[in-house]
Amino acid sequence: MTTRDDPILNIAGLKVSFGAAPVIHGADLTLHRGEIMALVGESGSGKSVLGRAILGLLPGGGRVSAGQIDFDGHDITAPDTPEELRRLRGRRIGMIFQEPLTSLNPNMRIGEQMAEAMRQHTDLGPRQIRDRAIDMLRQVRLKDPEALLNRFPHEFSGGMRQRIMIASVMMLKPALLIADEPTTALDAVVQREVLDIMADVARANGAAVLLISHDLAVVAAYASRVAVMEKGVLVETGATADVLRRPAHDYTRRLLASARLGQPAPVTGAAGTPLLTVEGLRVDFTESRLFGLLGRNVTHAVRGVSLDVRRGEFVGLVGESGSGKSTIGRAIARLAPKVAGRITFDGTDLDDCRGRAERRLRQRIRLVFQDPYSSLNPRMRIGRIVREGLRFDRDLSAAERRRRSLAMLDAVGIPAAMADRFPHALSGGQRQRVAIARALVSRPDLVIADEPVSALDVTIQAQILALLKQLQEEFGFACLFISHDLHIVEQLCARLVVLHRGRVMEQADTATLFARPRHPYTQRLMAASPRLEDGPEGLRLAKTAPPQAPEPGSPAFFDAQGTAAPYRLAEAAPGHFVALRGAV
Amino acid sequence: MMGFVLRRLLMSIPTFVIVAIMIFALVRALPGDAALLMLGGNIDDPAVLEQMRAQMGLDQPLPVQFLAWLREMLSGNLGQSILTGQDVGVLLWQRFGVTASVVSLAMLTALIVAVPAGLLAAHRHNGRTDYAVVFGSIVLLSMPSFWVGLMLLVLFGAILGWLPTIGFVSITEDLGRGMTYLILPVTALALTEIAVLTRMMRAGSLEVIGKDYITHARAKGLTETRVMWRHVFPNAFAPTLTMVGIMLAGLLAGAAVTETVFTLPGIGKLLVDSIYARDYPVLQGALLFIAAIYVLTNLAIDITYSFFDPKVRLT
Repeated sequence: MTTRDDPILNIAGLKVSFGAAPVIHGADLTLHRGEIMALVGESGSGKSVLGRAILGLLPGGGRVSAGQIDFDGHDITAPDTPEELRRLRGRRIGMIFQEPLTSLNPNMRIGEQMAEAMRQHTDLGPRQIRDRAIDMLRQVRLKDPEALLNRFPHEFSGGMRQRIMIASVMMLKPALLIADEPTTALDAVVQREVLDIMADVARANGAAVLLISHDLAVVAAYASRVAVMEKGVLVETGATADVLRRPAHDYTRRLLASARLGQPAPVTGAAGTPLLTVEGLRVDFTESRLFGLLGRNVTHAVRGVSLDVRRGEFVGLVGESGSGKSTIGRAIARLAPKVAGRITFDGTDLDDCRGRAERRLRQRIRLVFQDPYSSLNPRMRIGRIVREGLRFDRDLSAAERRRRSLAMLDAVGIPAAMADRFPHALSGGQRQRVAIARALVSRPDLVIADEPVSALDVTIQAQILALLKQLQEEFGFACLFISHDLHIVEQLCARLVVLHRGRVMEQADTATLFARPRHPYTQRLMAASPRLEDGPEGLRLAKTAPPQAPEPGSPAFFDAQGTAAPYRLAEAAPGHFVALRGAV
Repeated sequence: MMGFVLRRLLMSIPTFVIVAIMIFALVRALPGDAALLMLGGNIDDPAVLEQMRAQMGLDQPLPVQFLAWLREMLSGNLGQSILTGQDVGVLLWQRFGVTASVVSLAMLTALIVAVPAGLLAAHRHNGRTDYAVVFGSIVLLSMPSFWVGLMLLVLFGAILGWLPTIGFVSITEDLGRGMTYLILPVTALALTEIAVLTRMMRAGSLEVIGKDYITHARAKGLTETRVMWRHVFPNAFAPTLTMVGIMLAGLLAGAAVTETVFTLPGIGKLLVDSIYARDYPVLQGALLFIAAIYVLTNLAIDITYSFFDPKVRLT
């Protein structure tokens, strides 16, 4: 007779190895019915492998070398038949993956993807399955679920796909849900929404959840208990509040320290004429249908944005995906076509730069991209990758180029001995250091950093931010720092520009914006990315006030939902601009 | 969809014009005099030759000749064979029927074998089955199809005497007998195709099997059969389909060697024969016909793509 207090999952002395290399050495974990538990660790700590082991779906070459996984009376590590394991998958244990863009079959309609597992595991007829699917899609708060069933995954955004995924997995009412970094690939605002939905649906169906993540702050709000994993060892397990307040293990303390990010240290620039001025920038993406004969589809990515960056200043450009923040960065680097507007860099209009002048310009404006796994050419050694940044400097000898690139690698913390390695031999953090070295080697005046830490683990994020700060002090470059995470840009940026759907919603210096966010969209962004802060008894989850209803008498804010409404940017306080509705 | 087909057909017009110019130039560049050939070779009286040339329009400047030829082509008149006097259009159509039946049967057989074999090999990656499949396809790949054809003829025709070695009977005349003539050439062509397609299918499947959505399909508790056929196959088939298109167009244009080995009256054999015989009308017609086959086959493949990738919209 099982009672409610019996654990649904019991892992004892689990060891997993790939070939001869052990990945998990001895993990013990207990999960109770209906409980949400967070499993936290850096990438490579073995937390995903643990999640896959529970399903008996270890990636190629992996095997359980010792220990036991007991799920509700079934021994997963030694099932009576492979068939027993397959019946548990989906039906009793559901799994949600990290990348919503790749975890749905691009070739199959949503309805079919949701229905097939139902057909496999239950005797329900097509009619009943369809009703259940529609009901689940409603539970994850998707509109018009009937029409949605006939569509293909590529027609949805990442956040919507992840909701579809949750609906499809929870449809079978599994007793255990394993969510492997379910929202890491999503924007802060969407992330919050998806996690809320997931927790609600799990609670409504009485499922236990093992929430795997590298970001303690994100999962702490949802989990009652936390397990911390380091290099294949579960170093600490306990109630969330206790772990936050009194971390017992050294590694947990370090993880917590990096989640806190430390005191903001804004990089303010020199007064005087700004280095970069952008006025009324508009960028459209046009897709012509049948050579333009059938008209065009025009997407307005940036709709009249003005901003400036002073010499040596860090300015943050914040917004969710699709807000146009990356496009602005690319337009400044002349990688996106602008329709209107003026970009002035160090006194020269960029439109006047051609030929030699343009090549010189490209040495003074450099880029750092989000994903260090795809921004470095896998067939070039890292020394050459960095050296390439000097290729237009014709005065330099080969030896001088080599010397400078090695010095720059050294400055970003990559020893010269590694210059002959290929990118694949480096970790994510190291690769991002190489990308930074490549950008800085030509001593640029402006660096456009497009989500430079978003693809990295929290612990690495803090290191890269510290590195940028230190390099700025050494080389004095200005930076347009693009990110979806307000707390990241808060660290280094002196001023912030909040974007939504191609328009500036709010613009102010960082301290002011955090102390008094005026625009509702800014407030929503702030609430979306949870952080840990120091409480009276150690760490606790920072409380961000939910967006408040506008005070009576406050001006009508411009809301990007109704883009047709007249838009103007008003100065609410000196240097503090807010988007309002109404004519200028 | 219709718009897409229409646009592709319009876009193929320049292709045809260029091909037509090249064919015309190439045929004129061949050594030998068509008029002389028409008269049967040795002519003593130059006046007769001149008269023949005038009759054939060969005394006109080349551009004029080209336009005249193009006009005939466009009105559907491909001319008559110098050798037999048959209408070239009719001749091509008859010969194409033979080639098409051999080639499409071979391709069908190859797909029926190669797709499951490739999927199976990928599913058992680095296992014994996988090695066996890879080894088998390397063996088949390294044997040219004409040699396989000869060996098949020797074994089943000469030694065992089960199947005819020479001649051809159309399946429309006598289905049973017609089939006996098709078995060997179809097998010879299919074996090479199986080798290529199996490798494509295996490589494509291996890539897809590593994707998250396959792991997700397994995590749903689907059976392996369903995972492989419903999730891996549709996503892994595109590269194989491209290969099928290239091979199909090439073979339809004339599996000349195979047709020669098996003495099949197909389009490839017609082409080769017309070159040797300086049968210009047949040669020109055949080349133009082949260009059309290429364009149409590729169009068909592009349309088929849209069934395997919902992101491809035919607009």
